[in-house]
Amino acid sequence: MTLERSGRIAVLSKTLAFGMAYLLAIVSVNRFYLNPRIASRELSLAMSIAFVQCATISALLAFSFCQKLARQIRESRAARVSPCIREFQALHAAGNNHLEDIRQIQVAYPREVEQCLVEFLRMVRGGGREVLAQLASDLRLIKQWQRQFRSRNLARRKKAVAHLALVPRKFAGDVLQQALSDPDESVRMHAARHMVSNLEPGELPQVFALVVNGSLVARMVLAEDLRPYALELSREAIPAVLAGGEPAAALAALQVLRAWGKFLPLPQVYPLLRHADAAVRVAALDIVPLVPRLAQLEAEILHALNDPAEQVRSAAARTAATLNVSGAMPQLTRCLHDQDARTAAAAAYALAQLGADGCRILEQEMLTGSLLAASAALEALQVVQTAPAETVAV
Amino acid sequence: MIFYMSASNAVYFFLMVLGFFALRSQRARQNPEARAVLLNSPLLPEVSILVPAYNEALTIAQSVRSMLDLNYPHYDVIVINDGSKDETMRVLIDEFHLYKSTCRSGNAITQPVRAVYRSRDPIRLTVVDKANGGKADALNAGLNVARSPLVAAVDSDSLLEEDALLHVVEPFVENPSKVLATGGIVRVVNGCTVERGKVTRVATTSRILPLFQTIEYLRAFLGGRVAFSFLNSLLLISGAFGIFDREAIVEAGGFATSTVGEDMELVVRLHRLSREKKKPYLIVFVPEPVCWTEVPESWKVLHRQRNRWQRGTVESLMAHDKMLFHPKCGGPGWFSLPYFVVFEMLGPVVEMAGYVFTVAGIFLGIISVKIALLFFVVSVLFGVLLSMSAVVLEEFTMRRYPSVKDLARLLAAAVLENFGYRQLLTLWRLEGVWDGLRGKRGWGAMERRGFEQHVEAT
Repeated sequence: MTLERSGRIAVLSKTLAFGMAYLLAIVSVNRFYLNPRIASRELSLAMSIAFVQCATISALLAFSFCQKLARQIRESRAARVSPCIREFQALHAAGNNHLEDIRQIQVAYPREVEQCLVEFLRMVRGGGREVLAQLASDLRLIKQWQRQFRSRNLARRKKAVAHLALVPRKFAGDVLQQALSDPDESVRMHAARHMVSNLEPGELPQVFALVVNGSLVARMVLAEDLRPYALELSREAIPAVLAGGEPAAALAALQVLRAWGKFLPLPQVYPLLRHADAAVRVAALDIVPLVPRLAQLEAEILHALNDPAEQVRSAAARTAATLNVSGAMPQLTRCLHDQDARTAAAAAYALAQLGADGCRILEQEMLTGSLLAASAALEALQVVQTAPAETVAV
Repeated sequence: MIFYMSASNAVYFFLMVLGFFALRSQRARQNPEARAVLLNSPLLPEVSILVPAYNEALTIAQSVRSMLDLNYPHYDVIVINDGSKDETMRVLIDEFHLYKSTCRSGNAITQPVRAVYRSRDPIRLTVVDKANGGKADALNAGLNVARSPLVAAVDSDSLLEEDALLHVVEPFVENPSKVLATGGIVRVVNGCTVERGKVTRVATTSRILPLFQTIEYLRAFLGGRVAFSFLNSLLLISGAFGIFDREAIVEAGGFATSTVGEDMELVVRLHRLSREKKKPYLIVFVPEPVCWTEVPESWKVLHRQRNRWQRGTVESLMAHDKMLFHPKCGGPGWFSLPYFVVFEMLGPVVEMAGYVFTVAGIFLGIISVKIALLFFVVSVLFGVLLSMSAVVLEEFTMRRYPSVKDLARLLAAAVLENFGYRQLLTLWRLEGVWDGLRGKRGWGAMERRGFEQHVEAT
């Protein structure tokens, strides 16, 4: 994963800090220990480097061992006390007040209490969640998560967002909204995903804005999360972006529609077929089969088959095949002789998929067409007629 | 000599520390839950996997099967039979029910293509049968047939992990307009258990030669490449597993057939062209995806391989020597190329000269035996420490070797490889430098055991 600027600076500063400490250690070992003992200055310096490196590696290995040991101890401790904590929490959620008991356990086992509560919050909804959120607040865990959210440590911020997303917004405050404008995209995406899983009124457009303005990864992930809200978004949010005509935003919205693959009432896609940006035209052509047919559909596809951009012609050929636009056959036959190999191949496959008439044209092209057209025609016929459907690829 | 050794040690160690912090930072950003969602997205770019094969009858069926079984929604596999003299083509035809297709090739000039085959089975496999022209020529023939925006170059003697493709494509998804190439980590399969083209149990081997190479792979991939990638100065994406933007390679003129180090040469060329055009770009190393490769178990084959690698390095560096300290060449020109010239290309020359001068110095009475011994101890210590750093880095970040026994074996190998093995490699690399400067060609043959032969009693 490519690091964002702040992350890169952090990595470089840590490396530099480590390097400085390392250098200082080498100089000290050389000056105060090895130099007085070894005659050759160069050898003494080399030995100092080796000595410090040796000490560093040993320390790291020891640290790794201690970490493993600490993890093991934590796990066995958690396994011992967790059932008791869970029981108290369950009783508390059921209406019995066990706040003091849980508080007492929290003094000795803060990590385990927090972990059990988070696990419990993930499982319950409605009134139970409210009670548990209140418990988290009483145990000052929510304050702790809010503090963690302001940390410079990325993992801690992500964890805080994940925890705060589990409690109702009145407890969490506006942390999730703030997280949507975090400098790190992974935190923004994390917050948006959690918001979608517990969506509150008015939050949908905020998340969709992140989808449109975020990176392709964020779009791909959030598009899946927003799938259940596709119809709701197609009422206002998506038409507004499509009608705005801003190429990057329009392209992003069209990509989301492609990811959903749902049939949606979005006639605003049609004007994009003549957008100034070729990438938007291609994306719109891919989406046209997923929106209601308008009278101008065939004319638009024929227009796109004459587009100056080859990728648009190629996409138009694919769409003509998908929508079974038999009126496009003459244009597709012309595209078969296109200079661009991909367009020619797409046109050939489109003709092959348009039924007997299309296949007849291809057979004729095999005999009378140029070498490239004949080859494209033969390959399309061969793939469509010989190979199984799954292997057909344009 | 001592100064050179200290400098090389300091640079390697700096790269490892940088690699360590970069790896940790990357891991903090990862969102494993999101990956499952990504896998179902139709927005993931299509990938064509190019698999050049030459005399691979023993492993080809299993390799291709493993590549057809990846966890990625849109990809196809293109095997290029580069004029094999064994049964490679027959095995492919029989195993995958191939039929001759009339598929047209693109424009790159390659050795004559005899036929293009496709499978009758519901798998996305294309096989290009062509006259022998070398690996680069085979990859170019594959590029001609590939239709996807991304192409992966994978060695036919390698096995990809199920999620490898998804991991390595991620940088392209994050930065579609900037990323030109990404490479994954290559690990040693010798010693692991392989079943039906999949590594089912990760373990180190008890055989000494592959074990030493395991250490070398760890050192090269976890230390150097992560750091170079962080500085956008990565000069080498392993030929065993790398993904490229198809358009960028075609624009750059495809894989160079004039060198045996076509993988490094292409990456250096991509750097140069992008810098010349002042185009923002990224060449990324992704430590997550794993490609398992079979390493030589005989000294003879290892000798040939190392000679070839060193020749490839020399050829690539000489072909792009103008980038060295060029004001426009940024990180690659001012950091990674000088590093490769000083430590990778000239390293064996300096090290061997050091050994020779020390021995000569003792005989001529210029150097005392005590100093010479101390020199040898320091030299060995530096090697041991670097190898151990790589093992520690592995233990702190990836943790692919689960048992304590594996860790102990790796640590032992990190020490032992410095007594004889390293010196022998230095000699072979020196020979490679000489051959590279003389312009010697040729690959040499690799002897295969077959993946499932690697299971060992442990």
